[in-house]
Amino acid sequence: MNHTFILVLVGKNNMNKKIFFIILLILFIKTIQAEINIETASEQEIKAAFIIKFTHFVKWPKKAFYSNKDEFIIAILGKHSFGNLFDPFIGKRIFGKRISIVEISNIDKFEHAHILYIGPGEKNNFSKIFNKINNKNILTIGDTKGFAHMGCIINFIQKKENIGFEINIDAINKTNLKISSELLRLARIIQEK
Amino acid sequence: MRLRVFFIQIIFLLFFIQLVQAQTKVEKLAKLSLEELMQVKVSSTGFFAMPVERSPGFIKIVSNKEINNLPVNSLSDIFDFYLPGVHLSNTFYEGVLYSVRGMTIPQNSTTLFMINGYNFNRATGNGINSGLMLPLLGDIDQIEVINGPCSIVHGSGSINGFVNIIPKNGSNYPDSFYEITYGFKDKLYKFETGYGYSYGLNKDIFIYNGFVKSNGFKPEYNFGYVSNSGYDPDVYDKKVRGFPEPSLKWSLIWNHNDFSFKLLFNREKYYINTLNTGSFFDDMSDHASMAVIPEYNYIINDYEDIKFSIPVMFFDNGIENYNISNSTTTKYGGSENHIESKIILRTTRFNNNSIALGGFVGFRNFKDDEFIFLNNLNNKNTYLDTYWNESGLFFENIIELMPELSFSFGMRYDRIDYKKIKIPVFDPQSNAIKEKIIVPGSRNISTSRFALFYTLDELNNFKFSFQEGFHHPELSNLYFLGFLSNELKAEKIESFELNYQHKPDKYGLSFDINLYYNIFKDSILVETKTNNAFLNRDPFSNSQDDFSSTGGEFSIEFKSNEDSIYFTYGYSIPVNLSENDNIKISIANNDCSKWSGYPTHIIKSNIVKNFFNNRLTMVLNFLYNSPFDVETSSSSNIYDHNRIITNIMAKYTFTNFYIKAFGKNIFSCDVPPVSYINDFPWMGNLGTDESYFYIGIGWEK
Repeated sequence: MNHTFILVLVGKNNMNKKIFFIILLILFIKTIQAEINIETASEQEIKAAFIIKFTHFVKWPKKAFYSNKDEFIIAILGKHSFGNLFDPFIGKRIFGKRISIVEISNIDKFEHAHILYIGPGEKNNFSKIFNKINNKNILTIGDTKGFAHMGCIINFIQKKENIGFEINIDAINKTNLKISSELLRLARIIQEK
Repeated sequence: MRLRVFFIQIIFLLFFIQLVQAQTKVEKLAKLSLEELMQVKVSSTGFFAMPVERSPGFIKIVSNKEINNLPVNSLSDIFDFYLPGVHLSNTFYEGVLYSVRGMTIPQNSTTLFMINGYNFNRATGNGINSGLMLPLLGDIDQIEVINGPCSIVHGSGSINGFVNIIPKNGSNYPDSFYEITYGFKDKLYKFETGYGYSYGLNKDIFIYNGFVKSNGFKPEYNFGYVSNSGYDPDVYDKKVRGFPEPSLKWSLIWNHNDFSFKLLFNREKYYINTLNTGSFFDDMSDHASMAVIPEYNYIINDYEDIKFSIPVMFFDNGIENYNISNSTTTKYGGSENHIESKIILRTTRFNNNSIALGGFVGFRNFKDDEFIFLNNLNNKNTYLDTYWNESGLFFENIIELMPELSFSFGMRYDRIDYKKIKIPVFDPQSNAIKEKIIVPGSRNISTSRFALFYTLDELNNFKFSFQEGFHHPELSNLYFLGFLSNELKAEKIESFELNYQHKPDKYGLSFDINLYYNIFKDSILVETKTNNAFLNRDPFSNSQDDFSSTGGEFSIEFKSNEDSIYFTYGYSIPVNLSENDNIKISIANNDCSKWSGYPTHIIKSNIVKNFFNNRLTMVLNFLYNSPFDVETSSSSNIYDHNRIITNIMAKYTFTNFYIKAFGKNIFSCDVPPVSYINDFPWMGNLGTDESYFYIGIGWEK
């Protein structure tokens, strides 16, 4: 520690003015976004980040965008506790399409979605939801134990200290979605019997 | 004064600057690779990591980011200014005194302080806890604080809540950082640096080095300090709360696949709070502590794993006594060593069950007149060596009864064997002090935990828990001023808690309401008697009468991107459970309507506002303690004030560089906090009518 340096920097007689000057100077310097270290996150923050991240590892067929060429729709079905975690992503582009987040309470309204997050409260409606999806090119993401076995493509699982996910291979094969091998490598693989 | 006005002007000016869109934590997480994202930990407070909202009891997690965005210097500042229902005061002997839910007792031995889940308390009972006042926080990833007991997981010591410090690792904190800080009032100089490196998945290393030196400050003339201590600080040029010689902290965290190794070392030399320098009162504390924690997590298969660890802890506890009358310094003290072996098997094999079972054995000793790290011991006349073993078995099962309802239950059995205490005895025949060995024998105790968690919907949930805690008698309890308390047994707490949580909704609003009813049994450090003669106490014995603490904690947070408004309220009152109405509780007032060392109402608030795309962070922090108004205590006129403290901070970050300025007690009105009945301001439980300002410059890659 260089004590002399600090005392020279702030001075003794004009300390207030010098500090004020330093702070003003810094405020007006052209700045660049700072890198901030990652820390422990809440369950919902990690899951929200996963949902966004999955878009980089899944390829949708062109016909999935016929009805709306400029929009990538993430639908959230049922009550959820994401709060406003997705807000920063609304309007941002992913493979040239604007992300839109749609909260839906009715299973009839996700027809044009590219990702469908199915909240834990929808367990009883699961068969209805999948009848409605009927092998459409929708990446279904569940958040309930057993959802992957029931036909959901990706399902979050709680590991001992982290959040992981499982993937139902047969459910993917019923769609025209292509999932990268990297995603499969990190997932617990589920196959229907 | 001018400096304070300047800082306040800056704060108000900047709060009105236009807000620019901030980058959220989710955006940062989404930039991680999938592997990295899978490594981000969900907060953990039990055998199994689980979200805070599912963990039994009232839990608060303070993240590294929150620590960096608080106008604080030390762990004790974080506890005092940020955590719901936690009250900090000062004890005349060893500095900071930590209390929750009314339990302000003369030492910190009943609050369990841990490093990554491993007990870092000294066990001889002097109430010393490493690093609470040390202004070096750069190696901390997060702090987990629970106000209730949790012996099922952590064993002896968690009567008065527990604090778990999680250190950083190289994966989450890659590359290097440097920070220097200067304190204008107390002439504080601080330097911290750390470096993290990841060389693969689950392979990383993190090293940290920090040191600090500060002059401290002169005790205030207010609050009756000088008239009672008899020592004018101007005449004797004595200071309090400073680190006159460099104090330091080193840590090394290494993770390699399923193996981890943690090494932490603290050296603290600070002025004991009191200015009094007579033969009884001490002047300087000189402590060193080291934790060596190897841990191996063997993953057997998808369902089972075994966690095995052998933490080893070393403590040196030195006291320097400077005698004004003859200008001599005597230094005395001793050292403690703990070695423990702990094994936990966890399985999720059985559908809807998460089972943990395990055990530990610990070997501990205290050796008087011996240091491991320190030197200059020149007063060897107290020899009092102790050896004791601890062991325990524990089990817990978390059962998911329905998707929205889970239930957990667990049992724990603990045993302590006091092998021997070597005590000095005066032999009249030889007219000399001789050594005598006594064996206090063993004690056993069983504790349990039951908890229910119910999800009302995606946003709202309820928790109910019954938890027990215990605290083995420590050396200073068993043997005190020549008396052996051979019948002393562990003290116990039973805690009932009801909790309602609302998770962040689309408006960014979340809140947490917790009600508790704690029953204290066989208390060692709290007396219940039919008169007021608490100070002339007998050698320690367990209290015959139970008493209770009841109240609640409430916290609410509104969060919009990285901006937040956080407000907490803590309430606690004592309840006399004895059938005899004349029974008095030593830490409550005469009619048992209020605690005598703990504010009935504690309010804390923290407002964080970001500007310029999160490059500028402004923080306004506030603490309120209700006054203590008991007439029978001689200290009541000193504590009969509302205690209000306001702190501020501004931090500006650009590229890898940041500048941080913060002020504590900016309105200069910190009256002494209420504390244990003996801890008067003239014994170090000080207030101050000064503000303290700090400026730090840092670089992180």
